[in-house]
Amino acid sequence: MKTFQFGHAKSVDDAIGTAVATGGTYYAGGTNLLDLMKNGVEAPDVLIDVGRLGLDAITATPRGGVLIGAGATNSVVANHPLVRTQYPVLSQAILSGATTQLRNMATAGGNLVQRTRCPYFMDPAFAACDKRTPGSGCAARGGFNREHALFGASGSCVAVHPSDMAVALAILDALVHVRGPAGSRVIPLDQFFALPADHPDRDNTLAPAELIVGIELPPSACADHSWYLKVRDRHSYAFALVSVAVGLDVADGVIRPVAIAMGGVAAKPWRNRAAESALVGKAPQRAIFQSAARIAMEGAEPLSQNGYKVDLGKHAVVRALERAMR
Amino acid sequence: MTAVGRALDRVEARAKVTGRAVYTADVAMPRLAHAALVQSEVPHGQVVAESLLRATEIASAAAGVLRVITPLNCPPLKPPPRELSDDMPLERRPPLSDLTVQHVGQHLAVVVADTLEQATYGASLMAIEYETLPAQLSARDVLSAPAAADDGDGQLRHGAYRPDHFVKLDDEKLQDRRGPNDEPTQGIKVESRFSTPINAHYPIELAATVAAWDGDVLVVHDTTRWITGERQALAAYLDMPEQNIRIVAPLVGGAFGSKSFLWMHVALCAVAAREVERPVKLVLTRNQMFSSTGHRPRTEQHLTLVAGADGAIASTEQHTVTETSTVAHFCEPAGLSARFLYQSPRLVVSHTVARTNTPTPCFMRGPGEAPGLFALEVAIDELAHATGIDPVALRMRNDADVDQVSGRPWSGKHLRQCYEQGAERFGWDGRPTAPRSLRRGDVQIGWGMATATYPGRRMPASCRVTTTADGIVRFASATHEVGTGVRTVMSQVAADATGLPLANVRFESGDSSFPHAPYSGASQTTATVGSAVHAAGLQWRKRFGERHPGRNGAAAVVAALRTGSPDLLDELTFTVSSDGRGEHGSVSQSFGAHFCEVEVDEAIGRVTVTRWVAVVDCGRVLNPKLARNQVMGGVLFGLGMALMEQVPYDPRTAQVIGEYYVPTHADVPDFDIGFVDAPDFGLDPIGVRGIGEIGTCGVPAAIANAIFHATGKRLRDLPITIEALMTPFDPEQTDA
Amino acid sequence: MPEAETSCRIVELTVNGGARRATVDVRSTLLDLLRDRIGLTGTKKGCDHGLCGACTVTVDGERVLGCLTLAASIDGSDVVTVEGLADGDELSALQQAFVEHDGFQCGFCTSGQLSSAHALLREHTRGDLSAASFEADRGAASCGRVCLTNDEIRERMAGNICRCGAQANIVTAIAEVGRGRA
Repeated sequence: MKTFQFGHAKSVDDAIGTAVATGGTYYAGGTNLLDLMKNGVEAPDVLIDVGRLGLDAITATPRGGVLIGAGATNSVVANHPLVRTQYPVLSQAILSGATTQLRNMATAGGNLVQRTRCPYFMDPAFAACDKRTPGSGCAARGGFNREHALFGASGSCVAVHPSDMAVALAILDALVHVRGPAGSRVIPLDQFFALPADHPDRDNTLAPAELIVGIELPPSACADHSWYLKVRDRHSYAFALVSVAVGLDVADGVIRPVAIAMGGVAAKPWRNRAAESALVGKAPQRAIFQSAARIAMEGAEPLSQNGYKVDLGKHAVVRALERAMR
Repeated sequence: MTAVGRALDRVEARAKVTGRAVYTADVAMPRLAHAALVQSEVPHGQVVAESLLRATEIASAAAGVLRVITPLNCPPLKPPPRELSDDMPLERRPPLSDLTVQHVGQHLAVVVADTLEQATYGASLMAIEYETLPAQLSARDVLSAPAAADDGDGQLRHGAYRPDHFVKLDDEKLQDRRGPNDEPTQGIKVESRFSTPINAHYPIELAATVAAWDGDVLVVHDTTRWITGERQALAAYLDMPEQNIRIVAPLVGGAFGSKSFLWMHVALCAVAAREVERPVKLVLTRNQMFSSTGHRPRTEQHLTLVAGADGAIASTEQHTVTETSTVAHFCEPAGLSARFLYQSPRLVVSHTVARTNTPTPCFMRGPGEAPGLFALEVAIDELAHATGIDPVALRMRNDADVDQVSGRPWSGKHLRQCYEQGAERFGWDGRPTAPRSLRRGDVQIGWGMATATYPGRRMPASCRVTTTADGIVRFASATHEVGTGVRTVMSQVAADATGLPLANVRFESGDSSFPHAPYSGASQTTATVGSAVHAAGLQWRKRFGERHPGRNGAAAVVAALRTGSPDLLDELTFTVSSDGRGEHGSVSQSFGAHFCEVEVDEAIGRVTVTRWVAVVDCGRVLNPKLARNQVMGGVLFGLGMALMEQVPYDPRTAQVIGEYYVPTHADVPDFDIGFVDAPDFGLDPIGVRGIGEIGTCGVPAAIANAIFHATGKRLRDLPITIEALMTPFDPEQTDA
Repeated sequence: MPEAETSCRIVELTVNGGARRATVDVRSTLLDLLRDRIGLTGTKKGCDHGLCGACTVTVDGERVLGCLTLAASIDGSDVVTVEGLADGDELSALQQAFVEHDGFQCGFCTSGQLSSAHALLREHTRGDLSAASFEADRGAASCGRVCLTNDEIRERMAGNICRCGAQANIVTAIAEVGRGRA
């Protein structure tokens, strides 16, 4: 890989200032960025290490929710008592991803900004990749696309976002706290990720030099009935072909709030509000779950090799809802 | 109590658990430089010389780069010996010969630098242009077009061919028939097509070479499982005498059939070391392992069985189409087992090999048997289903008493015992015949089984014995410890043959300065090297007895060594050779039976192999602890082949993309492994028949058969994926 | 952006209890630093891309992959490799169990397996969960400590690939030592 300058930022402001001055890239766990640098996909001139900024606390918020420091490792987040008890689906989703070693290195913030695993993106030997080199085309559309998107894709990119954590965050209505040259702001998770549309090279809506400092979870009523289901090609240590996060609450025999999101089907966690609406006020039964599942997969646009994901997605939604109710 | 038969710890165990075990890439030397390969990104064409010159200039100017070697400046290498490349997957064309490209991953340049980071970066700067030509990437491509003529002085060959026999084994006929010309018109017929994908060996240790010159003498540390063959090939490539080459490989981190035959990068490492006048280390990247150390090629198999209503097989036909490169010969011999495994008066077996613009394949654990038994054992299961006969009973019904190919008896065969013991341990008696009979919660449960078989092989080998005043007797042979435990079991054989305690014998391997041994493969090492060690041990005991008649008991013997004269120690230092397999007499074959349970979650297409019973008849078991581990490892290798392994290629560019999945801890079933442990002295004097590969043979079929029993789905294409297992969500609707 | 002029850094680490100071290429991974600069070759490179786990070591008490750790980013950290697991000549309980149960064949992945196994027992003792914990007993997952079943061990070790297929014996070794703890 190309050489680079490396420095540990001393504070968030220092990190941002350096990023503005040098155009540098933030470096946290490195599990994705260093890998991409080895492949030649990323070639930053300056790395700004944000691992020593003290952004790793996990605390209860006054509202009764939890604020997760962006620097907390995936393992620490998944095992934290506040997360395990209040948001078990988040714990389960994180633990379904990667391996213990990788979860010990990767940070919450890094998990959100990790890049797609599309093999054409990850290997510069494949020239046609609009996400990596805008204007060069999309090799996946006419090639190997078994693992690619059903929703929200564009003519120029059919990649999916690989994060398990983000799918759980999507049903928890997470808020991403960022700080940048223009100050602090909070981005609802649903607005954090960017669909490819005209700019597949942009995975998210962060502005240049913006740094994620925390992920806030509002209080959730769904802790008792939630589940993360991940379907992959081997029993562990593989990215999702399709995954589903569900959370629901049942009162007086009917479903009241419910949230469903899917991973492995789009460039962002795919929240299914129409499917959710179909469940609200209904009894939690298989036939109801099946209707919702069909609605959840409406509008899917299969490619040449990923059509199986449509039925798989339906099965997975039903199964996740059933597991959540067990 | 004998040493053989005991469940001893591996002799190198302590080194392996403390990180002290040394593998090739661990070797350090003063002034060591590092090399990185540049490989072709197109499957067929010509490198544009201008672009290569420009790339060479750019890479050469990068920090730390010492030299960039390409076809434009590489000293010409000679082709490997015809006697090897005619029958074995050695490439006929030396590396960096010219600018033509025959497959993706072909070596195009070596960048040598002071550090690994510098060499890697320098290599990444080489942007090479090609004039591409149409490529034939599969057998289908080749068979549907007229064949181009051979060129490059016969080094490049095209089209398809039908080889006569497997490697140098004249008897292992790849085109074979017996019995009536025509297939019986009466009876129950099973006719199916099977496909197996490209598989990669994927040893965790990356292939690595450290080459260093001392004047005209070349010392190569290499992750090789064929020291003597590599020495021969390097001597040919580099046009130098074999005795000036020393190969060292004390420990190899897994091979499974790789790390031999494709020595082009090794030769280039030696050239690099000579060019920069420093030792050079070259470690292949994981990606390069897919194209540079061989792979198991694709097969398509067409298998037809005809049997009577009583299940007696009347006719077997197995026709295989497979692939090799345009620069080397290799045929995956899938049809060989069908020639003998079940009684079948009529037999037709054929193999067609298509030469494609893909990297050279080579042997991979159970070459032929792994894909071939998948097809045969699934077809037998289909026949069991069609006749209503239990799968085990059907196999017993067709158990062959003699080797139908030669007409000769087996030197030992306990397959029926394997079936019976395996069935009992598994609980096969309780198996309901009909598929889809067993369910638990969300999952369908299935039980399947298959026969395992693998030849007993033996080649000539030699063993040196060295006795020293410390009372230690060292046995040495140029074989390879690749994880099979050879160093341990040879110590056990040596201890018993000499009568010495284990503490007083050592077995050393991994150095070309030791006497000859063949490649560690074909499950032959224990029989081969063991015969030499055994003979050497007996010779040692005889010689000692002549010098000290009447001195018995280990303590007394050791005392005699410690106080012995230099004369005595000299007398007890010698080399012995043993032969390969005899031409006549009985036929040696190992057998086994696999039984497994699977759970299939049809909604999400997920299969779990929950438990596995294997009973193996592989002759005497020298070390039950190591043998059990070897068989479990073989089963897992087959599980990967069945459920997840395929090298993914981009259809348009022929490049490897994505990840190759092998089983993780989370895919491992519970194991119950048994051995018949009946010594078979027909192959060698120690009674073994080889165990490295039989664990894998039949495994993919056992799993596929269990899946059929669970779901009623007969799956004939590997790997079995989620798409194949998942049921439609709305089966009644036409649009899913 | 002009290319950086200096591409070397000094990295100070504690490795297996001893202070180490190395000048490394800024691009160096911890794995290459350990193997090439410090000469601790017990930790192996199996893929260099985080896919096999052979390079697993412990950094500041947690198991990580050496191949995806930039040496410069962990300046000042405490590293334990396979060479640091034994107490002098006395093997750790896990190392001994691996020997007895034949938890390896070629031995190349063993260093990583052992580093992971030691970490696994620490993680379990402090109450860490795995994906398997949710399959078994969700109550335990949210508040209690989960039982270290073979399924738990397998999931927690899934990041260490063994191609020789010695996983069954590795799990037996870990389970035995796990049961032997208080």
